[in-house]
Amino acid sequence: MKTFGRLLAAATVFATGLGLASQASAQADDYPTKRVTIIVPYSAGGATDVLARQVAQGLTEKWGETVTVENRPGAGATLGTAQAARARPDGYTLFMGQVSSHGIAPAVYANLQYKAKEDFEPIVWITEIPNVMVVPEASKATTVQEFMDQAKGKNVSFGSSGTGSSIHLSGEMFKARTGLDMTHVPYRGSGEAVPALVSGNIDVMFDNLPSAMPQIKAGTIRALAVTSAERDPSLPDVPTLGESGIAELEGFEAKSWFGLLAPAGTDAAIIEKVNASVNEVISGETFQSYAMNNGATVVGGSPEKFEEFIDAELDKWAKVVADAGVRVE
Amino acid sequence: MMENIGLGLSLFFTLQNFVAIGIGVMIGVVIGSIPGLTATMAVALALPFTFSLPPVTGILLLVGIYKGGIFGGSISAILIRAPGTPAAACTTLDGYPMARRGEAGKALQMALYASCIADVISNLALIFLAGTIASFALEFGPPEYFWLIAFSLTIVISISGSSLTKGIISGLLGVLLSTVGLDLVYGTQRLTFDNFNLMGGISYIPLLIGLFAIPEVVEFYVQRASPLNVSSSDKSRVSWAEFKRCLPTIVRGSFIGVALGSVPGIGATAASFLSYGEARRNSKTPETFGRGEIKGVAAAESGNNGVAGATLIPLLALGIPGDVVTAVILGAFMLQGLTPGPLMFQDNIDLIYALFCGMIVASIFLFGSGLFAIRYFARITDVPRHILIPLVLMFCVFGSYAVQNQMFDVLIMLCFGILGFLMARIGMSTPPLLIGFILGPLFEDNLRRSYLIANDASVFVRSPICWFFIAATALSLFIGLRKEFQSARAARERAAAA
Amino acid sequence: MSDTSVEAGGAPVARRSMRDVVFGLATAAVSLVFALVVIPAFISVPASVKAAPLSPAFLPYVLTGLIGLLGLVCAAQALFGQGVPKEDGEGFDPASGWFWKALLVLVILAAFCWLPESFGTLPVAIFAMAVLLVIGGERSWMTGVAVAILVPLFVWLFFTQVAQVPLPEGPLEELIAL
Repeated sequence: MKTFGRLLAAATVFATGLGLASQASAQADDYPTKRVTIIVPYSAGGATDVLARQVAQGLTEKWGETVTVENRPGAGATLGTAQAARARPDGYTLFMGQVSSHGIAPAVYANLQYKAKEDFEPIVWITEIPNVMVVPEASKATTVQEFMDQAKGKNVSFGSSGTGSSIHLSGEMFKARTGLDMTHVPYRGSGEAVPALVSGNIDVMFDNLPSAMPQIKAGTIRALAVTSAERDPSLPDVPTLGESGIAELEGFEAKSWFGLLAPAGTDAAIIEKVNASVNEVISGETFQSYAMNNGATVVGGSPEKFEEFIDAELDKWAKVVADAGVRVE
Repeated sequence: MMENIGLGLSLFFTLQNFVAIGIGVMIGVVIGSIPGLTATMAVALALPFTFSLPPVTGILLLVGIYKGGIFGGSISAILIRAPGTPAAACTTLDGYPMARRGEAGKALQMALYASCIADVISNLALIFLAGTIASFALEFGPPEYFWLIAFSLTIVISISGSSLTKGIISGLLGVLLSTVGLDLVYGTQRLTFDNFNLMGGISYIPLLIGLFAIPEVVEFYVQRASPLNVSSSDKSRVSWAEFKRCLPTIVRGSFIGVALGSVPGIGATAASFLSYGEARRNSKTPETFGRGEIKGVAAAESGNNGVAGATLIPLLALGIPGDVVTAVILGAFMLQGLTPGPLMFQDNIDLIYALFCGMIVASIFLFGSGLFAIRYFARITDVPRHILIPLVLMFCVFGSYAVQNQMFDVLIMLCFGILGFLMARIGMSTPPLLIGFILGPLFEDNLRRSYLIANDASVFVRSPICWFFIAATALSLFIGLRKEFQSARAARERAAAA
Repeated sequence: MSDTSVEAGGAPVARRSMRDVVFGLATAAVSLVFALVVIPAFISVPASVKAAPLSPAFLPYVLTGLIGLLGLVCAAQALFGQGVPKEDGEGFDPASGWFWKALLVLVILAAFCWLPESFGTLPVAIFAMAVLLVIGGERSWMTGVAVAILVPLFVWLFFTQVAQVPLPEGPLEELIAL
């Protein structure tokens, strides 16, 4: 019926040849009254996209209005983020933020086309996933200490899914703290980098846990440590970098995270409503099992909690980037 | 073993699975045939639906879409010279001239036969050789990739058209265009002219549509006589003799597809061009290629469909996605709580067998829905040209926009449309540009990665695979160039005699 | 491809080789400018580059050099070659006023780039369709109007409703959202 209604509306416009735009203002109580779009700054099929589609489907069921995902990939997530920043702040365009757009990119790129703080209103922190330090099966190291001993005095290569990714920066952080001689070898996505690690073309990688998981389970790569503050339930035997007994690595924390944001200026009541709805969706059984299968931890909570977290992330990565000297002018 | 196969069969033979494959293939064919809407996009859009389905059904739905999509791309490539999916770009070279000659039906049929045969061969390779091929594929590090790409680039010689010099310029230009965007290693901007939209690089599908379809549109309006003589009742069919003549080409193309598909990251487009280049090189009448040679269609379509099954080899055997589509399919596995890789062969072997059955059935369904689609799509040629051409234009515009939902891509399409038109005027072949554009990043990335890993040029001769591809590259260059010079001399002599 | 490509005689050959000389020299000149001005200005090379092939500008320089060189080869072939009468592509047999028609098609494409944001995609498409039908030689008013409205409407509905592509609707957005 809806399609027919739209068809009729469209046909009317063309029959008369003029359309009178009704100035329907977005009211929080009846929000949403039309299609809501979530912008994803990565291409379809990636981790961010899949997550956004899960959330979108949950919201669609909840609201009875279609929530669609719009992929605007390019330039390490900064392209889609900049476009989201310029969207009309009416609550009908939301943005799936992550560690790149609202953590690393503002630190790495000098001429960014958006301001992570000023251009966005945080809505809700959705999930987080740890990175994991992995070496090929053929590597002799079974602990971080052994890895360090073997790497001393040698040039070690570490792979990543691309310059400026959390995988790259975790590696840079490790390099800066330990002072090892490490060369960054960028790939285009984890899908390309993991095989290079499996075959031993690169020596180590700080991959996102979900993309490394299949290979860890299969035994083709070995997890030495997770980069989160606490151990991950899916790898209970793998220590954190902080627990590795190396003084320089104490308090080491690098993780990937995802959360929903809106363009700055969006009605606070709408943000509250979206926040409540998303919190309901992500505590539902469907989303919980999705998160578990993907090695993600569901977070949730208030917009304020998310905002504080983003502030902390921006500070942290700014320091890492400054230490590692990877800022791009 | 037998018991596992039995379990697999019982897991597979449900009505739901058949419906899923059927729907998948049909969606794939239709979406694939529309320029701008690719198989990748269709698979990604269908992903959320698989969550509520049983694992086998859900994954077969996606595989069906993928296979259908790769064939579907050839439909618009042949009929309107706008490749529906990137992998079908090569099919335009001979498919479209055939359609203009009034043999659209025949070209589509050959595309379907080649696709299905390649699909079956690809599936068989997956079923019987997955383990072997997968471990071989892992031998490819940056230097090995580098030489494989260098070898693949030599096909530019075979697809340069009338002027080899200009063809090579076109190929180099393609590589140069592919460097636009953020630098892989340093993250700095390259040739973006401070335009924010170019930071992600030039989008590939708008470039493709602009280069191939737009010149055809412009041509229609500026040519005095309509260069078209489509017989309105297109009854052309592939004859048995033609099929037999093309069969070796199809088989060769399928193997090329399997080989390139099983190495992660190369993709269907390169495979179809490589297969095409090989077919032309092995032909006694290479000059007929590019002018509606049915073997050209067979080569292109067998090359790209040969990839479809083979990309699943690294996915199933190693848990490594070979391209974007298989990355999405990997996502589907993970959503079901399954982890492809060696472990899956131990823990869920029944599921693997069920998937294999499904893939064979998908090949059959592809043939059926292909025949069905051809019958109706071929009628497009009955639409009067002056109505069809604006319609094509509309699909090009909307399709370019749809890739990333931005008008900038329409502008990219427009620019490459102008470039394509100018290139045709000065006798410069466009396919090399495309090949350069696709392979350029792979070439450069692996060149630089090799240096990063070794910091030393000796890494480029580190393994037998390197030596093999160095030899293959040299040989291909030598034979290719000699053949081009010979045919140029022959043409001169013919002209002198006339 | 078509029979128009079978052209013979000295004049077109000479013209074509002249065209190749111009093309070759122009290519070489553009490459030179590109290498000397564009690459230094628009590719920044970090100071930390260790080996030459690692530099972001390495491949662009090599490619530009090769293109320039081949441009010269192309010009030389046309000047000193035996005048190979190769048929390149289709013969170009422009209709009267072809330049203006080509320009019109480009203008329509350009309209698609910039107008949908302010007028909506569908009206622009209908307008473009109508113009193209007229220059394409549609005679009947009835069919013309029907095709110009129905065909874009169909394509538009397909993309927005079936494929869920958010085409810009400009001022029509509110109305369509009903």
